Amino acid sequence: MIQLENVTVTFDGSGSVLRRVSLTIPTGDFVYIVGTTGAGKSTLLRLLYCDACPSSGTVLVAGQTLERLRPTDIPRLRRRMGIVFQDFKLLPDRNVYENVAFALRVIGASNREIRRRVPDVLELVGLIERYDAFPHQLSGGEKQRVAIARALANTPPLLLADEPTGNLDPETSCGIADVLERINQLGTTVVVATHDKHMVDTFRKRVVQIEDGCIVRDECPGYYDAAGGATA
Amino acid sequence: MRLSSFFFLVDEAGKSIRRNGLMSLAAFSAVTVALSVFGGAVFFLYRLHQFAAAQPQRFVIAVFLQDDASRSTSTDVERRIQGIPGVTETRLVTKEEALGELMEEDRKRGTRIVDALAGANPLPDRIDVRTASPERSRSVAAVLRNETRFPEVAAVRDEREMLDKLVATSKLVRTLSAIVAGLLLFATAVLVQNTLRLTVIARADEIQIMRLVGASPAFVRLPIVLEGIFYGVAGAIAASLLVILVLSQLSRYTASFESPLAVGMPPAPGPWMILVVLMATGLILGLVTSVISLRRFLR
Repeated sequence: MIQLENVTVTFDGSGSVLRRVSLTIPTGDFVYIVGTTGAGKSTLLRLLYCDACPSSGTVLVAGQTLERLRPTDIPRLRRRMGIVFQDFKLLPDRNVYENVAFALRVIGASNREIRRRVPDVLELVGLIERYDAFPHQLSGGEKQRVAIARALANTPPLLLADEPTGNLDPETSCGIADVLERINQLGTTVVVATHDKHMVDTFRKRVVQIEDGCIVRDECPGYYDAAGGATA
Repeated sequence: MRLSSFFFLVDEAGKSIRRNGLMSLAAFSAVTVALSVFGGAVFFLYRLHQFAAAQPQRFVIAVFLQDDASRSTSTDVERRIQGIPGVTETRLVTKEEALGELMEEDRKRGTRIVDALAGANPLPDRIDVRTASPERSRSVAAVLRNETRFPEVAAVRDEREMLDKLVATSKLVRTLSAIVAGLLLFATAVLVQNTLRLTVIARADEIQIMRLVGASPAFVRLPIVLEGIFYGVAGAIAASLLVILVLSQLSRYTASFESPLAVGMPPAPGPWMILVVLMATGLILGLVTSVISLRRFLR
């Protein structure tokens, strides 16, 4: 599903954010990317959804070599992945149903498809009862569930989550982790960049630790260990 | 693109206009004010250009024949003049008609020149010549002064200096008008683009979400472009009404002291012409500025 070979990312005016990173994530895997702030976790995810370009090395996502991708092909690749952010990125003037449907409408889905698909994903994240609530009427955990539902609306084989529990308390984080695990059990590859020790240690999966742009640990299953000590 | 997708995009543009009510009003007002100034200035400059361009056309080359030229000679000379390249119109004014013109002048001005002639008619036959353009007058007059080709011609009067000045003035007005109209259009575009950029910034989250879920750039662009076109066209309609209203009031006021120099000028552009020109300008402005405003967000 995902393959990085000797990938280095350098942004103008700064040093290398990722340095000679090699990583393979097979289809159906669940991977936590952990590391300190500025270690390069988010950049790794940005690479995968084509928001950053590698300075050198090869990135393969869903059989596509990203360096060879033309700009017109990027939207098509993004339709094959769902992306979830820490700040939810919900549209405040639309209710839960419309926020999820929005993701389908902008890729040209038919009304019939939208009517069929939206209730399904809301059911999956446990928000079907709250379909007509607006974001300001939802708790943080509920907002993140809507964001996950939106990311899944197009049934993507890959889900990328960048600090999905960053704004949530430990109990709510567990709820989100539970949803992510269920999604993974349905066959979707899940990659989560996180600081959430509680989530990583409770829902034990493969852990890839990045420090200073390099992978320093890759364990399955692993614990959250920001210091880099091996605890398999 | 599915029909439902198109309606979704139109609906999105409509929602955005309603949702950002104050911003929409600002964009609409900016376009209206800018296009009103642009429309009014262009109308004024166009009339000035029409006026300047019409002046040289008023001048004719007067060709005076020898006193002893017979009527058949005059007709023959007129026919030969018609063969000179650049000549569009000739009119033979016989010595009798010339005297009639002089009598008419006397009557208008209160002079008694014809009376002083005591029944004699010293005026020769004359041929009035119009050319295709004021610029051609000089070469046509030179041919007419050629004694070998036109020995029957006694004198040629082409008001050369006056014509040269008018042609130069007309060119200057045309150039200045184009520069001023261009600058005004640029200023209008900058004003509209700045306002549209604010509406794009207000939709930044929406644009980002659209991109991340895999919407094509065209799909991201279309609602904003539709919004830009809406502001452009709606502002242009309001500006047209304003310009038409002001011009109709002005023309009522200026009609009472219309200059004789304006006689023979082509008619002013009508309200429909103003509406069409401003709407086309508004549409293009809205389209181009919205695409420019979006460029940074779609990189």
